[in-house]
Amino acid sequence: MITETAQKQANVEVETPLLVVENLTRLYGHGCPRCLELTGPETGTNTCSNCGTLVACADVNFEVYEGEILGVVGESGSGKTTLLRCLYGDVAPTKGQAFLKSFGNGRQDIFQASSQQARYLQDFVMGMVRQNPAQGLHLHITAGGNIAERLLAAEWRNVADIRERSGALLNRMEVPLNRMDHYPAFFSGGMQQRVQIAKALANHPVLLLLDEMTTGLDVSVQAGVIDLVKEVQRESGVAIVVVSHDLGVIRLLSERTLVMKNGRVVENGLTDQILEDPQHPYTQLLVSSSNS
Amino acid sequence: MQNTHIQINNLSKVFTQHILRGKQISAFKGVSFEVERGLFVGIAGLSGSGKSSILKCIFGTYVASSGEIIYCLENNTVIDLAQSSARQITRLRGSEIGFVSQFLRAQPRTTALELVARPLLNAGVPRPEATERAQLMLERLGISSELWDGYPVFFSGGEQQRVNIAQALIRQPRLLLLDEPTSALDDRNQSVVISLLEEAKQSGVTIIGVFHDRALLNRLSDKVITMEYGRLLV
Repeated sequence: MITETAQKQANVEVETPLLVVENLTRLYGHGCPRCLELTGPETGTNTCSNCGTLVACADVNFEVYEGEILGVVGESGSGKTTLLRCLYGDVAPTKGQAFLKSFGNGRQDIFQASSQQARYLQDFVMGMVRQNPAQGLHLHITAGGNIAERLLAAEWRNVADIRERSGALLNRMEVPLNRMDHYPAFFSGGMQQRVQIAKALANHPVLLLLDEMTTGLDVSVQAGVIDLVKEVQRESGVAIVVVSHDLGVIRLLSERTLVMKNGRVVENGLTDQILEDPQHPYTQLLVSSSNS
Repeated sequence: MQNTHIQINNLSKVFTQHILRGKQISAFKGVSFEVERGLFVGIAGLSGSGKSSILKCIFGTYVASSGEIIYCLENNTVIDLAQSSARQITRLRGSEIGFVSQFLRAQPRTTALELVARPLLNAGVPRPEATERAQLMLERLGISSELWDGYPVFFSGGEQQRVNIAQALIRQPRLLLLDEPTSALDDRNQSVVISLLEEAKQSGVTIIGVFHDRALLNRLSDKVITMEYGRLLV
């Protein structure tokens, strides 16, 4: 019977993920034994009523595969940005582990990396685009200079080569070359985000983290940035985790999506499944409230 | 059993609306059928009888509530799609299973030609060849060349539907799911689509299709199954 062979299911899944995140938890505060039970989507808060600790993320588990775009959606305060900041090494998680295929043979926990290794991960393995360009760019260093900073970290030393590579990256992100020597402080929001993406891609990362990169941009600019990200992803094969509160952005970009609420992942599935057949009450509320 | 491509066992789908105090809506119940490799199975039935929901469960857009969707991969491995991970399904969508819906989901800033060439590009076909094949496909479907570099958002309903079909058929999947792909087409375009589907079948593609037009369904299908009120008529 054909059904019996379905037991072989496990054998089909031989693909090793690029990134595995296990039990990622980040608390802000002293913490108490009841923090996790008193917070979460059931209680509708992420502040522990016993000790006042803020539970930004708790027991988050997921994988990212090579060449895919994973969406993370949820309301403000659901823990999306904390998740990215922990992965990028901006903040240390309270608990949990994460393994990157290209780091220590995929066996070394990136959360336990030394400061030198963490620097290496930020400079060569990952790229981050932040919601606020002022955090991701030096606004009073030229656009070209911002990218050169990443290249210098990768030991590029020849000025002509650096200029050529910066120019190529900016050009790819549709930033006019005559703006290369201008300060991003005087760029439009969309252009600042495109410079950030160019900068993040400078050293050929394997994982790109995008934090609300289109929030605050008008729709036509937003569509342009989204399309560029898709093109770059196709060309370079970089895996992307894209965080957004906007289901429209997630729908256009990602194949798989995590839904977060009060620091927890409440649903994890195919993006079209999340949008057309949401399972969790919160996802149903989110989808029914959205017009995208 | 050797030739079975997909076997649906006792499949049911119930939507639970938590935000409507747990209201339950049953789409279909206890559906079982199987499709042999290279055959065209048509699903008939009135609107709301659960036809599209079955296709969406197979494609992974809907989460099956119970039952099995046993699928035989190209390498003869057998898996249950109802239990497969999202990642497994996305990979199958890239390699084996195609879906043509009634409507085109237009991507911003993407031309018709690019949209149709994309499945080939994603599969590693070089751009010049992908573009040429996309042009041929659009030409066959009667999309005039002046529209190729246009954005499908601005196309008519029938043109959008043909772009949608072109996109799905350009790279032949092993299993093609059709959800009323010809509803907005005039007779001439419909017959082009029909001949494309017949060619796909000839080259071995297994097809499960939902069509409202009963005559068309009978003409294309090797077997027709009929849904009524969420159940399969025997």
